Amino acid sequence: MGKSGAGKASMRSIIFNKHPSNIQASPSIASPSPSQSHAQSHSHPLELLNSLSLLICDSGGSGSGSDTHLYHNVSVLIYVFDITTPPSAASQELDWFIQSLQCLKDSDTNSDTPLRLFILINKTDLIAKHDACLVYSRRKAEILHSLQPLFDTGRGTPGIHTECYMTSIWDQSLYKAWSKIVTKLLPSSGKMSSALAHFASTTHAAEVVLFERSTFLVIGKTTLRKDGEEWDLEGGDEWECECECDCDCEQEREQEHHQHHHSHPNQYTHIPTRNLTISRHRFEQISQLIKAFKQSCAKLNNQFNSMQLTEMDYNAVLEPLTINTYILVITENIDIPPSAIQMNIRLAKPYFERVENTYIGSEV
Amino acid sequence: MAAKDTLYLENNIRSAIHNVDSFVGLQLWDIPGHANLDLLGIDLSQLSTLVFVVDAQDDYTRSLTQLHQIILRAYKANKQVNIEIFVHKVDGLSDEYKLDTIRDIKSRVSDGLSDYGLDSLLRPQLSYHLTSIYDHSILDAFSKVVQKLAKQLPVIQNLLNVFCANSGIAKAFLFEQNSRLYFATDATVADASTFEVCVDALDTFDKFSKLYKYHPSIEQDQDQDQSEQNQDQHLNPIKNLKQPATASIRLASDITISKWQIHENLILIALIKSDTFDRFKQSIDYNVSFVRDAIVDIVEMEKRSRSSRSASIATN
Repeated sequence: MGKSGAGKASMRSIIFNKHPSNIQASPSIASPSPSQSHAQSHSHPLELLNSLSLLICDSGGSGSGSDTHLYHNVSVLIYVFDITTPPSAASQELDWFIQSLQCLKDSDTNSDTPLRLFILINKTDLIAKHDACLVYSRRKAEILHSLQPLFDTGRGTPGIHTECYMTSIWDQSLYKAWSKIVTKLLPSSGKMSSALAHFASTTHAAEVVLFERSTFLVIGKTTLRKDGEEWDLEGGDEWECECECDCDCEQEREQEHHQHHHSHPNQYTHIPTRNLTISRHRFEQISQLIKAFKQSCAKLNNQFNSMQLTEMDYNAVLEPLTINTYILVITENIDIPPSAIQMNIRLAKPYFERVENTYIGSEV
Repeated sequence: MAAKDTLYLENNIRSAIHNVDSFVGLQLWDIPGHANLDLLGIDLSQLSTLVFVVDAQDDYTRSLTQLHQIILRAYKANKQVNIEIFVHKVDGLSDEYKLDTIRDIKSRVSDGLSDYGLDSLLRPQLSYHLTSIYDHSILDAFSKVVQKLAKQLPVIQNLLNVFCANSGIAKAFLFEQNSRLYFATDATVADASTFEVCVDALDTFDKFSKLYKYHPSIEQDQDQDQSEQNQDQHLNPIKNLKQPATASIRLASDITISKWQIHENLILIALIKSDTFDRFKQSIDYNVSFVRDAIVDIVEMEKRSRSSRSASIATN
């Protein structure tokens, strides 16, 4: 939920429906009329990976927090803030946010699972790139500060798990945020990532990424060094924030220099001990690319099935894995032909299906 | 540049000349709409193609009168000139209305020209294209314009025809990587959506391949330093032998879109039945290597002749 006009419905339609953001650009299809989600909240049941079913309540940004029926059985709250809100209106927005959180807590006292809270600060594209980082961190501090009293009153109860992301529907940051959210929500994600690491080391892959089939959100990934050690780029929270910030500046520069095909040293990081540099935003970009291509496949009344890429120095294979997932395998060693990778993927299928299904067993 | 960003482009005030070095060497002269031809001082006899853009969403009566004048002058200066008329901004029009518009413009232009006393037999070659920047029609139209200028086109087209017939390929395009224009395609008829999906596939491949890059590790560099002399002799042949980039996307209903890098900036995109692709991939690759050799020969020859031509101009 979030204030009206913060961009909730646009977000949902891009991630979960089949709207690429550039379609929204033409005014005729532009965002659903505010009154639509204002009048009643839209509920969207959604199955992800068998093991998780999401019921997304796209609740309208009405001024009153009175419809308490909304707050039952909520395990996750995704609150969308509008970064362009002027300071005068910001306090009101915060008030409403706190109020709804309070409602949520009151109606949710008997549940054991801790509430997860994701804060998305949206519309960062409307702010000059170099300012965005500063404004974002200020807003984030403000919001977190206002949360403080809520944490204090909850004596003994598990604290609220809070995370904050900067998003814009015009670039890949939206995919990044939602990928993080879904990964955090997936109960089997820990098991899945160890399975991925195992798969990567047996196939000599440099990187293995797992995507959800319909949304193409990243739900698991491993990057391996040459010696087989897992290598994790993401450090602490602070580093991530920093990364997000220069990601945006980078993007701007990329757009400026697009004609010149300039390469940006900062955008790429190098996997230690491997002859491969990788773009920091590759996951979001892949999601975005494949989603866009799926869109254009519709023109031929066709569907995307799989992709393979053989470049000078690496092979990439993107194949459907289980009925809910796609897998992307990057190998640096070009002596491994793509068909061999495909065979490995086929052979690994039952194993991953088991990993997915075991969780459902224990859940039921 | 993305289509939605063109809103921020400013009006052209002066004419600008852009050099585009593509398959054929091009010089684009971007001429503002209000300019008077006399003031520009352009030698019309140098033109090989004249592209005139008509706004389909506006009242085009005035721009058609201007078009008449330009056609007359260009034709007088050079009888061989190709005149291409882009009926632009058709994205806002319905399909029916699009056809009406282009028919209307066609009849008005030919009426106007006969008013000026140009006989229908002596008339210059006019081609009309419906274009829009919000889909791929502009790429398609511009590709056709450029293709008319390529002297080697029939050869390459023939090459692709033979290649398609012998490799079980449904449709093949030879694209230029940076501009997304295609220089040649085989003779089979394809609808616009096929072309669009091919362009999108090319885009996807292109963007994807930028996400990962080769980076020589430091240890290797040190090794190379020691035996650089020896390595250098070996490296060059190896570099040439290294696998050229290929890629493919499989669609659910039994079609595979496949890509081969042909030359630095040229890419072959082909639509193949998935079944054929799986069974005969090696043979198709083998055939592609011949197509590649032929096209590289043609391109190199063109480059050589162009550089010798420019050298002779310089001496003049």
